[in-house]
Amino acid sequence: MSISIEHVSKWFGRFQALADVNFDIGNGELVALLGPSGSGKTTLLRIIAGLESPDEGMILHEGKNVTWESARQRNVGFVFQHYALFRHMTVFENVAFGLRVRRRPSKEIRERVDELISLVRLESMAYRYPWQLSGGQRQRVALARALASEPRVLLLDEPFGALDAKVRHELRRWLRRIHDQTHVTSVFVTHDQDEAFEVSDRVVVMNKGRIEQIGTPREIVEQPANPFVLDFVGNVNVFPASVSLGQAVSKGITFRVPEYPHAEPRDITVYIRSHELRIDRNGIDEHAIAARILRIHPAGSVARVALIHSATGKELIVDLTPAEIHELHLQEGDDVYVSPKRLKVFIPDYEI
Amino acid sequence: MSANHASLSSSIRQDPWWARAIMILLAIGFLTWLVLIPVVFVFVSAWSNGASSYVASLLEDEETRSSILLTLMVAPVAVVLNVLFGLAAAWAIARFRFRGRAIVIAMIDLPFAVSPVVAGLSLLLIFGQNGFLGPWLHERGWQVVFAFPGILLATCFVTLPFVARELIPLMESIGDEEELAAVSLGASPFQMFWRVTVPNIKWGILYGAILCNARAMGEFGAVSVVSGRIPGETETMPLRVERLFQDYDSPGSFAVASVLTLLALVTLGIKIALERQTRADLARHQRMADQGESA
Repeated sequence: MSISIEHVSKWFGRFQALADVNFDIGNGELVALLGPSGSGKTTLLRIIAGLESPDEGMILHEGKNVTWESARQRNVGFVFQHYALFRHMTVFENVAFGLRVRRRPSKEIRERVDELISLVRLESMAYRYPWQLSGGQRQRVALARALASEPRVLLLDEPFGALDAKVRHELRRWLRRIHDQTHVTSVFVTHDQDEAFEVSDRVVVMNKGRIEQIGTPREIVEQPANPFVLDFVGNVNVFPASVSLGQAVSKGITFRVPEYPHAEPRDITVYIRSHELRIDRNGIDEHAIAARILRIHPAGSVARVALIHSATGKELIVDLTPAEIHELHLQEGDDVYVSPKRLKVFIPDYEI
Repeated sequence: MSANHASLSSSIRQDPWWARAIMILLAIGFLTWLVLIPVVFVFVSAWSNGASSYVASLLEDEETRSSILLTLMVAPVAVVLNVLFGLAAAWAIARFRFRGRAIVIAMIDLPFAVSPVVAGLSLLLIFGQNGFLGPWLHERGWQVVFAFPGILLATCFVTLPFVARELIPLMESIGDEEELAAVSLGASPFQMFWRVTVPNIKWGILYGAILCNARAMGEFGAVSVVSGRIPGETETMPLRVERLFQDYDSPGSFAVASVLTLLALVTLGIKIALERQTRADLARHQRMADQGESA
């Protein structure tokens, strides 16, 4: 089912949680709402669910205005951040709840619940209580419960936030698989960019109750619309600089920016993502930044190198592959040269 | 943390033996002389003239019989009203943020602070013959004071906080997420209440009701003022005990007192059993919350 969010605003007292939010979700899409805490993403999700009502604007399902319909009428499945399983019910009864309150025949309930419990691979746990399950198992029960009454939309609030890293990774892939099997239109809230990029078809980046950018994970990573998105979706090195004649100068560091050939100096900010910097033993040109390696953190598939600009003391972060580190024989304390592979310039009228 | 614990308990063990002995003797001494001996004495006195006289003083006295009946009628009705009020108050306070919420919380505790006699008097001022609402009620033939409704009102007043006090912290700690989940799964408000809310708080309701019942059966001061103490009509068991005692009918007085005490002991037994149950429940919820955070 397609969903349209039109001019939705919401206040909590004097705090504006959502400010004129507009976007559409296509039928069968899996969309992530990504943003820092307080960005309004959970409020928006609750408004889509009907657990909260907007102060302004409309929610449309398949073009039909459902703004004033209750959660019960909208038939949405909602997975809560802390699962909110019914603690006095077994796994089976938790999953059956949505069918029991709709007074479905008990034979149908049994079949449907058995089917869902095997979908989430909890057959051996059906008669356990929530307190006897691990966090990941509870999350799967919550998902099965939300899917039981065949909702037209599945909404998940920070679905993996309370789980440890390994379980989180497993469940992410698994959620994607479930989505591909059921094709239910899904929206989930997260503050974790990796989670948003790995699982979703499209990502909505939110900040301070507004949408900063909507796009596929690839669009967001490769063409961030503004400094907020750029900063939020990756580690960036920020250089406030003055630009003129195709050169941006920031405290003795010079970058080539041919797109600004004008003579009049102008204040800009240069952003370089940590994986878009390279390290060389010898300066490749006169603009390479001379720096000393402070620390090397191996972090799985990337190693994060922290350096200090020898002339000004500015800290730089560079992500390399372990192979590159090995090839260059990089050691802490080495003097090296850093140069950008790619950089992005914004006239600083945005706040980060 | 565990090291702290160990050092704490070992420092307790290092207290001089005589200090521990004095504390234990003091505690046991107070309990023995103030609680155990009087309670035992009630039963000893009640049975001192033999079993037949005990049964006779309970069953053959028309007015005593009526006082037992009246108490057994007032207490359950008061408990039901108290549960209804407690649920409504706890729901409002735990689930909504509204203006004057703090005042409502303070007001719920008021009956514990006010002397029951004062409570009774204030009811007289409202519902009595010359009271605020008294004449209006009298015209319509409704007798409140010196009758069952007055006794019920007084009992409700003094027991008001029991269920609410029990439920407010319980409902706040459980939170509203399960209720929201029920709504999102299509439950009507009624279904949400019976299938999700009530099972989560049922032990709390029962515990509050038990305490409320004990207090309702034992209430003396407030009921004494509003009931008019008409023997055989508006005299409850505690009032009967006192009247028999004043009339030098010690065996009768102690017989009724022993029944009251027995009811109290039964209540105590149920209360202990319920506490075990709620503790087990709480521990399980706690374990679930802990796992939820760490897992």
